[in-house]
Amino acid sequence: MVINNISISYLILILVATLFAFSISFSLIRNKKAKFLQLVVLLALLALVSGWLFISNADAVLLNLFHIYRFSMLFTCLFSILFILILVLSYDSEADYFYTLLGIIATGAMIVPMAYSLITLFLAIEMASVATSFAIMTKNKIHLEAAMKMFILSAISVSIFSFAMVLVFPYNPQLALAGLASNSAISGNYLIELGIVLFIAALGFEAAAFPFNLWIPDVYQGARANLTAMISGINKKIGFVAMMMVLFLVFAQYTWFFSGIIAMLSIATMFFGNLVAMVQQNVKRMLAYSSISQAGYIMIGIAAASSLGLEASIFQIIAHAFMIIGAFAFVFWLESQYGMNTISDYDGLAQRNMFAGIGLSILMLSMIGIPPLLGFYGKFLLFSSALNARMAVLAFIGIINSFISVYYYGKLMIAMHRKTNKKHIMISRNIAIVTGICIFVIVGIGLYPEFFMHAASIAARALL
Amino acid sequence: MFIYPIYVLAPLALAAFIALLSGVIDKKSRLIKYIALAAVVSSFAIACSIIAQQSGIYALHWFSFGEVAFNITVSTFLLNKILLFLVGMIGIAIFIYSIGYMDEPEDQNRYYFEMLIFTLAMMLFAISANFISLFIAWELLGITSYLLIGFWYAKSKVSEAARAAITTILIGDISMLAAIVLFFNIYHTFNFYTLLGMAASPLAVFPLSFLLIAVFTKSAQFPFSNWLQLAMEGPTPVSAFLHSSTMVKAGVFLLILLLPLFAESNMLWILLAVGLITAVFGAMNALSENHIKKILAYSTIEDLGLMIVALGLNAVYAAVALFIVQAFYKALLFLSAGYAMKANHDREDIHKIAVNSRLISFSMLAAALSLAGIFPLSGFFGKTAIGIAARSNMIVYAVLLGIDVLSTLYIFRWFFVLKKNKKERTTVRFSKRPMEIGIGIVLALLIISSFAMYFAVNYISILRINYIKNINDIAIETLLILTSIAAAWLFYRKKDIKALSAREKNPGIAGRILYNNVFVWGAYLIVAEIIAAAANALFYFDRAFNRFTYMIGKIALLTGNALRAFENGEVNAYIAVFAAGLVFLIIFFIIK
Repeated sequence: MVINNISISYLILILVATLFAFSISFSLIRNKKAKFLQLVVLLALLALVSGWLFISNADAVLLNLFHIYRFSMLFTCLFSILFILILVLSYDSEADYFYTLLGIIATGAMIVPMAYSLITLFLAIEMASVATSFAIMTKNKIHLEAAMKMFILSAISVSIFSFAMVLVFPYNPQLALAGLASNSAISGNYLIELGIVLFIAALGFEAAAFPFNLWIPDVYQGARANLTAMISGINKKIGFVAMMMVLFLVFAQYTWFFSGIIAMLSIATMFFGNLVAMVQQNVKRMLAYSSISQAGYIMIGIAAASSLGLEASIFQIIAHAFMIIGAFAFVFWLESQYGMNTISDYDGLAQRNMFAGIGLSILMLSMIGIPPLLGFYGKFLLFSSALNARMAVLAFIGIINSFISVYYYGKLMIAMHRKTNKKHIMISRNIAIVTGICIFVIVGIGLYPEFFMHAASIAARALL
Repeated sequence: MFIYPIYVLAPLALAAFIALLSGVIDKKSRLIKYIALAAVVSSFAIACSIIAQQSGIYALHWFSFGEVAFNITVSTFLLNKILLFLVGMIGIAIFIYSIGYMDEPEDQNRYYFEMLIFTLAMMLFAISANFISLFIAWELLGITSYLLIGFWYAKSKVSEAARAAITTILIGDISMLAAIVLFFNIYHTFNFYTLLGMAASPLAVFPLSFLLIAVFTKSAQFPFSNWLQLAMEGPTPVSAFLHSSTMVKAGVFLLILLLPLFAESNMLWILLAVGLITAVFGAMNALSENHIKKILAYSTIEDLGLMIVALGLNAVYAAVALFIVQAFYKALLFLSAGYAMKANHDREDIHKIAVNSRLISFSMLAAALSLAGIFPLSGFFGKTAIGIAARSNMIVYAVLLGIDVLSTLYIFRWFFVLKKNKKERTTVRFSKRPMEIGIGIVLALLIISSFAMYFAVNYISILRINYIKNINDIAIETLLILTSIAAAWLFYRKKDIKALSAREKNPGIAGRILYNNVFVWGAYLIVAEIIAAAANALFYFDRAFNRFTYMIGKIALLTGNALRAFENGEVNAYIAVFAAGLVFLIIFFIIK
């Protein structure tokens, strides 16, 4: 067999299939460590292969269902790395079936960016989101409530998504993403435009756009924090990837139409997230609202609907994934081991554990967008893309929201650096590894952002 | 083997990192001084191999936003090589000297960390070829000099001096940033050499003015000169480094690089005027000051003023010559002053310090002669070059001669008064050897540089012709200086130390005028009053604005609380909102 990019592309499919098969077979294995290792090795392989395909500029459609190109490979690589982080984070703290569910979620997440038809996309998204709501579920009432909320609301988004698919079906019976673009390019087609609105609503549910995001705070707070890290770091990003794919592959001719809607949703989401975050006392809930507001920022780039805008969105998706996973990793550790929930519990954290104090402060500063850190470049790119697309109002509102966000991030930071008499606390090893990697990425790439920026711009150009 | 210029920073960065880490682990590290010295030596070795290499310009891509690329660009042209060599060579002497001078075991890590970063910043500055790398180095210099000046921060005088320094430097930093942004808007480039190659723009006056403010704050020119004499509260090696080859030289170096831009915009007269005023004031202050190091600080202010004057006359050679030779004699003066202070219970008044060591006396004499501009020593070539350049303008030339006389007077006053004091019975014990080695290196450098300058002048025919043509003026200048030395001898050497001390404690009107720069301190106060009044007026505005923002914050909080009503925890409500949102979007779609 000749080894070329096509054959390596098939390797990706084989790896994803193996991932799925392994996770199903996990119900037969008792040894948790073995499951953990198998998943980590598979995901690491996936990251390597997709990274290689990204670098070597692969472009292949497999089985008319999967599209291997630079956009999908960037996200496959990113999601594999993020799933490894989540696995390390929840090492030794989860039940048996967790690994099965995580494997299924990972399979779904890998397939979303690779999808070549709306059916694949639909199935992959639902695979991830249904499995997530099952992963949240335990006998604990709070967890159960969060899982039920997520399940019921995702059912609604499913129905809307399928209705939207029905609306565009007449124009392309194969439902291929790329094929639709040429057929649907009939201006003033009301059915298509209604379809766009419904797609935005359905994917806005996953991507946490207001007003489809009310489940977010409850679920984020109700779920265990390692799963919250996964939902905010991966599931939400899946929603954005799907949204970008649907809007820019299927409805590329309709940017004039959806860009206004997305801009409106973005403004509402930013204000909703930031304003409500200001009055929160629970750290997890505050971070949930902050992640809603970050979703609003990401939508600025989609609203700009240019290659710079997409680059900005992709960059911010990567940056925010690392920031929020790092933050929730700290929250997970403090909550599960010391029962610390509210901001007043965090008083004097820096004194009780220096690493946590400095690390969480860096993450907060990055989310605010302070220059040498990764979050700054994301916001800079987003706002400049809005200005380039002549949406100065959008950029201005984004900046105002950044101001507002300083209030609640600052509140947490001030609390952490208060003096205290409380005992010193120890950080567990897996938390230190995960947060260390996240902080390294945020500071290291922040000093040399060209790496991610280049990757993001390549992916953006591949999508357009 | 080819070496990228940026590698010169690597040993320093590594050692600084070690100093930082070992500071966390062990507060009293004994090894760090040797590690720091090794880093500076290896950095100098790399610098030497870069100097031996061909000149070139190298860009290291950092990141880019759209079309705008942010590069760390470095170059190794002749000027870069000269500054690199100066920093490396004097750096080695200073780091050896520091081993003896900083003999307290506490805070060694902090000292060496700051010194290493300072050296690193200066090396980066020496090779920087665009505004990005320049600004990084510029900021690092500012911050580390603040930390080093305030090294003994527990004393209130020290922390105030450090604050004065950082306040002035920050003014310069802001104007530097403004200059960079304006330059970029006008010329669309960060690179110096592209900038120099471009056609002059009438708008260039604005960035150049901001650049001048930045340079004047960094190089302590009038009216930003005060921080430099206050900075004498820092450790002596820091002062020696700061005044000889780093920090204050940065501003002058930048001016030398970008001088054609100033010439094109007809701004040289500003340089000339400011340089002359600064030099006169510096020399006057130095004559009436009693603090051993502050005299030297004022002398540095005067030297920098002379360099700016040379640039104002568009005499780049003269400026560069003084730039080089000043580094050696000023470093030597400071290092010997530090030694003398250390031997005299850290006293600061020149009337109370006795100099016993022969090496120190000899170095002081050599450096003083060089500063005054006596023939075989290198200072002569710097001072006469400026004199020759100013020949065409009689007023400037006359003022320069006056400055020469004044500077000879104050430096020999410094030397004679120090030498006059008797030996003390109690001796201070301190590790002399490393300090003597450091002083010895700089003394050797001074002598070698004298020979080098001599040969350079002989070798380059234009310079030689210039000197021969102006031999009469040079002779007059030398005679004048010798007379001034004699006057200083008569005035300070012959008089009784106690009478002299008493008289200088109560200076007459002349002394007071000299010290107060005629009106400058008063003018500072008036400016400060005006600024304070403006600040007071702004305070009311500020308070109103504060209330306004507070109100906005309240509104935001109330809105947040109201929006919370959506989050009542009930799924049916969420579904309702979801549906409402959907309906809203559909309505929007229909309207559109």
